Amino acid sequence: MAVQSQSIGGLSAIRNRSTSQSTRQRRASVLIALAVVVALMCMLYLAQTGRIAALGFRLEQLEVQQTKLERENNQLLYEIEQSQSLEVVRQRATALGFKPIDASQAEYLIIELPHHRWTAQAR
Amino acid sequence: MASRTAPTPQNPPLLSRWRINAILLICVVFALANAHKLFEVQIQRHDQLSGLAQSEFRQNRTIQPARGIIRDSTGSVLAMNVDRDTLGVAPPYIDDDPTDPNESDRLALLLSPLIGKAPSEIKQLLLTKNREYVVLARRLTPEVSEQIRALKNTALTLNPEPVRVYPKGTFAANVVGVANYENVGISGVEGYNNSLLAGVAGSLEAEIDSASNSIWIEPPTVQEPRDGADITLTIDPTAQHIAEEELQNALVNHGASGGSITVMDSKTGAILAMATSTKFDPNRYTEYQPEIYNKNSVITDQYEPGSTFKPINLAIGLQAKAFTVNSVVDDPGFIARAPGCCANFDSNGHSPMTPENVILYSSNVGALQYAEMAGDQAFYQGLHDFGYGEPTGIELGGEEAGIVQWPESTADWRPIVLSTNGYGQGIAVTPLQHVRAMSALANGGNLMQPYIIQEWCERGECHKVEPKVLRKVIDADVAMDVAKMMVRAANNNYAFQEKMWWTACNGYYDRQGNGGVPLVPGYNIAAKTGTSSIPDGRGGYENATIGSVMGFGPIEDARFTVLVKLDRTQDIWGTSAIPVYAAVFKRLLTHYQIPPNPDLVHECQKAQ
Repeated sequence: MAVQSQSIGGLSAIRNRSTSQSTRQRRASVLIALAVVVALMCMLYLAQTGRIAALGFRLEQLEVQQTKLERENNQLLYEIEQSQSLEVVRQRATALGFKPIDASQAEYLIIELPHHRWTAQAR
Repeated sequence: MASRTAPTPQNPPLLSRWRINAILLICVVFALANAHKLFEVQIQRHDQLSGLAQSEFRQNRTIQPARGIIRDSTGSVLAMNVDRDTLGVAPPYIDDDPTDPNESDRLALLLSPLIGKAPSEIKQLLLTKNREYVVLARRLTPEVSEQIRALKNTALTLNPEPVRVYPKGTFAANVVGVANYENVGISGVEGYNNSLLAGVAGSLEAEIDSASNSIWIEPPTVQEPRDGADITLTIDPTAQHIAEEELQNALVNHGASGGSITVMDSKTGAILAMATSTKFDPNRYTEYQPEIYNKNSVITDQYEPGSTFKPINLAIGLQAKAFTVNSVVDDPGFIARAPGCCANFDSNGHSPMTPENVILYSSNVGALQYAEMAGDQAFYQGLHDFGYGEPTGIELGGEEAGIVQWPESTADWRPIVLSTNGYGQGIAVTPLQHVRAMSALANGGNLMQPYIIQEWCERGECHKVEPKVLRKVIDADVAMDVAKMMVRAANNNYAFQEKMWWTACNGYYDRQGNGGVPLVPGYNIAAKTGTSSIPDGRGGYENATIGSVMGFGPIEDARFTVLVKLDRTQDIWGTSAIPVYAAVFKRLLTHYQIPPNPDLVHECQKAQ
């Protein structure tokens, strides 16, 4: 009897040991899974951060380019406005052989309409 | 059975108690010191240290707003912004290359022609070793910047900065004014409207890398700047060009020391042209004296209007019903009011002197008597109504008020003041004040608020400035009566000692003919000449005079009020201003396509 009871006690101990081992394994699995999830999240975060930084850098570059183009645009506008100066236009026109109009050279055609009076200048 | 003897325990190495305590004490001290340091760093100095750390990788930048653009009435740009490079140098990096011991000499020689400084001056700046950064030149042109960039010298830096530029140069510069190197308006429209043009700065707070580029891990905090308002002026570029060109010609042809031409829209009070003899290029304003670029003589110069004031005098009297257009006074050429006062300019009498003849003969004696007939109360009330003695309120800085000796506020006021005021002496006006008053005669009696800003736009919203009638000064029929008097004076060239003042036709003189010779063929243009003495600052007058002509037209539907003022001309009696006035009107009428009336062209003019 004593032997039997010892035998039963041994099995129980073996079963207990087996149960705690599987529990530990489950815990370890959960921990590993957690670690993997955390690692994946970190990688995802890093990837996103890197992507944002890269996009930000690209955006920064585009902004720099925009500023540069705006500068060029302003400079071109400045040159256009300079060349549209009446004095410059007059000089060019004179160089091309044009002469300033005299008041006596203007001829007017006056068209009377029922409600409007249109005036056209010719020559 | 062998007896087992328990192994004799080996004695552990002996460490004396005091040593253990000493080590423990040291550890405790270290631990306490660490705890104290941690407390200090993490708690006591947390804000300060975290601020310092933040400042290392976070930067707060100011975003400058774009200064508003100034345009003329056709949309052509008169003032705008471009970026120009500032050339800086880091002196510690100069001459530190053993393979190039003469770098500073070479660089100074290369930069000298590009930035317009002497090589010795540049070298001195390059060798300022105790400074990290020295500015060598500002506002470089794009071409010069490119040439400097091509040098590929790492010690040189080119930093762009916004610069105010004026693409039309001297054109309308006295109106537009100047913004200084800090982009602050200091004169003209730029100065008066600086707060409107300047806008409000914004800011950007972001994490930055070592090259000061934003790192976009955390979105930057941006407060957008508010750009300055764009302003459109009432200035018509063609009218302004005509005024500037005719004024320049007059200065050369008549030897005048200065002058101005003002053109106002008679109906609205809008300034179409404002040309002055003090020309300057606002792009290079530092090369001029401040009194040049700070001054617009149309609003800052005060002068005696002389005979150009007579139409105003008559309008006041007629409105007060002190006399009528048919009234008559005696004009013997001289009338005693004070020792040496008062005579006609030619000392000739022209009785009977009607209001119309006052203008035709420019009679001082007649004007004086009509002012006296109006009386000081009505006369000075009229002056006030016409806006004399106070600034017009135009959107330009530095405007003068003019000088009127009001009877109630002038301690030693005497009746002689009223008498001389009648023919435009003893009173000082600005050209703009005078043009505004004359516009009231032109438009049927409304005193308009002069304005030079037609529209201003800010953040996509535009505000149009509407013409503003300040008050009704005279009745329309009074205004037309005076206008007709002025047309007759303009068309009938009064001869001084049988010499013509001016001729509308070369060599043709039709003093009392059939309506005279129109000053401008095809149009009824009102005009009145004036000659003004110039105070010498010592209680007397200079030997020189100011010749001026003021008027408007065509009187049936007046579009323009024009004042031509020439200072210290070599001619007499304002004769030099008349052809200038006529030329300005001819060109304006052609430009605005106002058809002439064939009946108002004299035979002699048809032949021309």
